[in-house]
Amino acid sequence: MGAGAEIGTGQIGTGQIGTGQIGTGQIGTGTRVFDAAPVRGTWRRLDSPADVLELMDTSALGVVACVRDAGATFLAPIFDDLTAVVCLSGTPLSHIGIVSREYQVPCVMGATLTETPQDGAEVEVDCSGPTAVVRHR
Amino acid sequence: MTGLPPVAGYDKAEINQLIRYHSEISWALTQQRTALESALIPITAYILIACIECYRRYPDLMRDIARAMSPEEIGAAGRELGNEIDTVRLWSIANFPLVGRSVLASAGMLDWEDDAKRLGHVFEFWSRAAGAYRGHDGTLQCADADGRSTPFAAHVDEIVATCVPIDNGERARIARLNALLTSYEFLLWFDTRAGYQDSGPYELDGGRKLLLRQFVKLGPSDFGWSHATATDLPFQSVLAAFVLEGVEFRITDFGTAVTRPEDYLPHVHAFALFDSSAGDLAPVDRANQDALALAAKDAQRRQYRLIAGMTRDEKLHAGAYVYFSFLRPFARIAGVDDRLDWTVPRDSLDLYPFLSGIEGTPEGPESTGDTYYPAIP
Repeated sequence: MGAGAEIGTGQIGTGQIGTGQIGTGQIGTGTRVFDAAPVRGTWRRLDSPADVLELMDTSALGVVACVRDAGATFLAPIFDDLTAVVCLSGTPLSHIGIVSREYQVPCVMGATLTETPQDGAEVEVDCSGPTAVVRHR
Repeated sequence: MTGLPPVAGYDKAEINQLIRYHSEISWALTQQRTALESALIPITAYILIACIECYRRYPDLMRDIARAMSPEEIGAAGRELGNEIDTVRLWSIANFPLVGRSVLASAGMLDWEDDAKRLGHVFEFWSRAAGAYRGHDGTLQCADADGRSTPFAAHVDEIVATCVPIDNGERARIARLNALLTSYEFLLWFDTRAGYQDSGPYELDGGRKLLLRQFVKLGPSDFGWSHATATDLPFQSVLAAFVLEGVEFRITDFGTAVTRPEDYLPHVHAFALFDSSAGDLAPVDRANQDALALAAKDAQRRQYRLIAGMTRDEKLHAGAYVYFSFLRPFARIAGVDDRLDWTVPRDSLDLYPFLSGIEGTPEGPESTGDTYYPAIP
């Protein structure tokens, strides 16, 4: 953890959110890279290459990775195992967005969170509407 | 001060017009991309180091390259397969010096008379090569052509004849191959997209469109780190061909396809992969495609460990080399690659202590398409 101060700027409810997306447990929104059905996984904040290497050496299956930066390389060796990516910066044309499109891993760019889940929490990433939504499950 | 003479036809007004042209296009590109950082690699710091080097050294390097072969001949070579004369490199050889120049301008370190001469050489080389790359159709970049870049048009019939219709199972396999190669190239190239380049749309019958994606320098190369990680890659360059139905797309001057819908893979009707290492089209069968995907996956894991173990300076030097050497394929085509000095950092050492410490994307004054690159006063 450690990014709590960067997030939670209260954008939810400002009218940017698509119809029918505001539901129970919503904790964040952002820009979807591509249209995708909701997926559920285990929240994991990844801050350093050591975090990624740990998952590379165990398993990243089922993980919803939350990252700060929009570079493509940070998640490289585990990308194809991830369930979804929540990136706290960037746009769909940022490098991480491009790679997520190719892997067809749902990805939320420029995400704004009102609440930071604990590592291991079950979350849902919904990229089916005009605005991507992150929810507690 | 460079010893270069002024370039005929490139007076201050002409240069300022070209600065404005690049400023508008590149501002729009960076607005779309926004953040550019990685917890693995100090991207912004190495980019700025490289761009200072490009501003200070590209004019002389371009003059030396042009003495060996005309920029038109080099640009035209990009219409053949398997080399690295492509959209993003052509954008970069003009824009990297401009980025470095912006840093120097903000620090009050520019001599404007010298600046005009430098940019004259850069713009002359770039415009001659870019015009030839685009087939002398009156455009210089994708932005001039509504996002169209079709350098391999002469090969389309041969490519399409080899493409095989795919079903959903095959689509998933192809998607994974494509994703692994894309991701592998980003890492091998220190978070740049120059390892693979899209072109198109090539219009086919029935409203179908062809998207071509060339992956270059997959194996061991002038990237020193590749010799520790990429030795098992079976091809040096491959060309992926996607026949799309129900997809519109354009190509940015970063060489990336922007598609509608965004996820174009469900709309891939037919596919082929070619080994383009030798400059021709050698079809790669399914078994060898799978072997390539496996090799890329393994190499990527080795590459990640290697980079994670590097010092900050080692990462900066490697990344700066990747950027600075975007001009190197032009020298390679001209046959003078090995006679020129590609050492980096070399001419940015006065600023290195400052630049090397930059974290994240610096907050600068708000810019617009008019002011992204400053004009010569």
